[in-house]
Amino acid sequence: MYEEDRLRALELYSRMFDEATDERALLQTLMSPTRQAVVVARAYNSNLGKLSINTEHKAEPEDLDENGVPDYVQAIERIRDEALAAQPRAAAPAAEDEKAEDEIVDENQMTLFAGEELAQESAEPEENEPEEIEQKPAEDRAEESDETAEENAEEIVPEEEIVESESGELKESIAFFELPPEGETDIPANEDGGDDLSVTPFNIETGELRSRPRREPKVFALIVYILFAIPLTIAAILILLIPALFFLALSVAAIICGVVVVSAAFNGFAVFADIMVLLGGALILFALGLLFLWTSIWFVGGAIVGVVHGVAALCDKWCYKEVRD
Amino acid sequence: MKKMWRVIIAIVLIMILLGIVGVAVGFLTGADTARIYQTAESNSLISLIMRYYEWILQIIQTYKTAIFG
Repeated sequence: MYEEDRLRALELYSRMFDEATDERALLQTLMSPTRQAVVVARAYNSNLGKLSINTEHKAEPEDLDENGVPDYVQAIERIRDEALAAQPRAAAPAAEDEKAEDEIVDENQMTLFAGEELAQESAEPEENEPEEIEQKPAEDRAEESDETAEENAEEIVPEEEIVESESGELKESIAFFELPPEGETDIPANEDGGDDLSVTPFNIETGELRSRPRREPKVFALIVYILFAIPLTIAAILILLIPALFFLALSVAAIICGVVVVSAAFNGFAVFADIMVLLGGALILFALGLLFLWTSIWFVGGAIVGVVHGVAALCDKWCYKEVRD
Repeated sequence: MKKMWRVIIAIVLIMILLGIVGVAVGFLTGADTARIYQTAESNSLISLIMRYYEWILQIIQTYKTAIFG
């Protein structure tokens, strides 16, 4: 995904949170960061056709729809509309639930026999409540109001969502969308004091793109390394080719001997016991042939390729340095 | 590579086991090495291979003498 598009998507999400009256309800609507990533990935339509962090900026304008809006922006807009539309609806079910509870209570009062006693019992706490409230200090009442507000917020949430919040997914989503406080970033610092660019390619506080580290060769070291590494690598390959060819010859010889023994067992021998001995010997020859063949393949495909990769990795380590623009 | 090594070694061990079982069954049911050798000598293909094997041994011996003295 291009940096511009990624930043634009982040900006849209940030705006969504700014517009939301209830962030908690919005987070529940968004469900999880993974889900949002999948939605954006499906909607994203780049020339590369892949969703990956790309340091290169867009060389050509992307494919736009009829309105001139990219697909992923439309997807995020749809999510925002859904989220904003869900917020008023979230409050409505709570009121409906309260009404339903009242109806249930009324039904019970109508059907139960001890109607008057129950009515008195239910009425007593209501009468006593104002007195208790008056006796409580103002701080307690403030705490209670906070608790009731939280309870109301929880009532809005469906049961499945509550289970998710218990399992920690909600915390994860909140942590994902929250920005770190100023001066407290989890981004590790480089040796030169700068931020680790592999973690965030943009500045969280300012939102500006950061310069990615560029790899530059140390020319002298590279020349010296090439001068020594190429002859040494060729010598190592030749040395490793000797056992590879040796094992290849052994395997070919063993397999040919096995084939000859099998053909001879069915041509010249008449006694069953002798044939069994020859077939057993042929099987052992085939087994050894297979083992030698695989050993030769391992020398070529494993050891020689490993040496070449090792030399390349060493060159990468010794002869290149990372610089920032 | 490691997985392939395991697979190859398992196959090789099974084949060797079967070969040993075949040889053992053959000897238990009355096979004779002298008779096998005699029959193999009369078989033209096996005698050819045996001569080829002796020739390779001679070459190795020659090189061994030339290199190590």
